Amino acid sequence: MTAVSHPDRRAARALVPLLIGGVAWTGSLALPTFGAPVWGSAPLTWALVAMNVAIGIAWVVVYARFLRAGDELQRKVSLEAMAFAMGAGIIGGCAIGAVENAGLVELESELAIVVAGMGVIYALGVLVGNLRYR
Amino acid sequence: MRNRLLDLRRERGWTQADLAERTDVSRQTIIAIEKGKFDPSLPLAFRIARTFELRIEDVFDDEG
Repeated sequence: MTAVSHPDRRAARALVPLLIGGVAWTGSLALPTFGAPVWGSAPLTWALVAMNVAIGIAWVVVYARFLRAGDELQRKVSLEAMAFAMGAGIIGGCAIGAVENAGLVELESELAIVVAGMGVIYALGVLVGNLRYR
Repeated sequence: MRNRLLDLRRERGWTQADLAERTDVSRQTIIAIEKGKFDPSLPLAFRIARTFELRIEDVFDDEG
């Protein structure tokens, strides 16, 4: 028997397309976000946004496969991390919206802040979950 | 839930990775079950018991 079990290898293999999907989605989002003012072409921007959505859908499918590749403890860790990320997204998003509506702060890209925050909370949740079950 | 995973595994001279491979779970899952930090699902508990060629109640004890 090897020091690394087959399920560990399977989960590690499933992680690679997940990371590639994350980079591809982020990159494809940056193109229309930062590029639109440069080229000023609406059809091109629409095409890039459509491509970003398609990559996003593919990324979700890859994530579902990643979850299926893991065992029940790995899925539990992911589920708990998702719960924290979703909770933080809802609570943080509503709080940011409230202070912005009240005119207390002026944020240009609150959606990006919320999404990035959810990503960080999810990553931290997975890290803490993995440490907890060691 | 208490379990005898650690004792049974050592009796057979298996590493955690060996047991993980035989039960088709990650090594982390074996570690968490052995330490009592994670209770396996019923299908996994049965799979573990079958791996040791024992009955489920010989491996797991719900009075822990």
